[in-house]
Amino acid sequence: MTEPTLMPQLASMVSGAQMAAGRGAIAFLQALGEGQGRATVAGTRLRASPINAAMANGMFAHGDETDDSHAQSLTHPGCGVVPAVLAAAEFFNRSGQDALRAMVLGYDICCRLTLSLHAYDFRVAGHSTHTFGPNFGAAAAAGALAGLNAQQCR
Amino acid sequence: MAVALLGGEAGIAQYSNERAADPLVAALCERISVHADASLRKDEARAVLLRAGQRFQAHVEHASGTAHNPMSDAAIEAKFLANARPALGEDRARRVAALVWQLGRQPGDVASLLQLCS
Repeated sequence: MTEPTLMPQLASMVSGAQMAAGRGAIAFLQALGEGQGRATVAGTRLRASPINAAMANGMFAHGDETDDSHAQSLTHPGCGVVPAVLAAAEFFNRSGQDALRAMVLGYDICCRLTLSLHAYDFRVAGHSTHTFGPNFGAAAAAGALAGLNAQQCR
Repeated sequence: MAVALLGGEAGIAQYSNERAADPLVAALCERISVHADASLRKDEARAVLLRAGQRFQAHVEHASGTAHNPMSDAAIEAKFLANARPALGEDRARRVAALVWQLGRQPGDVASLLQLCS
């Protein structure tokens, strides 16, 4: 069941849009001249290019720390993966089913990638898996929604 | 912990600066001490409450929303509504929740979902 995982991430995005991190993301979009793009920026009337909308939604999603957390892999999968899924699903006009499947893929890649690096040893060595695990999950999810094949994903 | 003891909830609504500065909350904070206990798992907690010579204890084996203590769909929706309601309003928050539950079943609903969230 992916829906119960998605739901709190949406709440994190709309509530985080009103917090300092959210206001910062909105100011960044406005400074770039965004506002009329093809992708929805949650919790606002702004639209932006898919990549910038996903980034802003990601900043919103972690703004109030109500996003999800995966302890074993030391990542917050939702705030990175869900915004990428939403922006890509909107851009490529994919179904809800496609979006949910891409979300599962993104969470899986996010967590497995940092688990494969032994996240806790990695942290002791001074690196933060939080900063990049979700990027890989987001890329995988967006790639799936773009319809990339295995070769293109490499 | 102080706001949870006073109101039974510790969600976004209780995390305001006003709530933190409330004299009752501040007074209770003075009486609370928090210690790390390496013998507990990361999702485990113990609380001891002392009152007029009486001692009450609580033990949370696994925090709510962890792999060993997953939240029910109803609890997740309640949390969603509590967190989304201030931003979206009651009606829109409920429509988003309803749409998420049927997201896998209808075409074109990602766009409608995003529209409701913006």
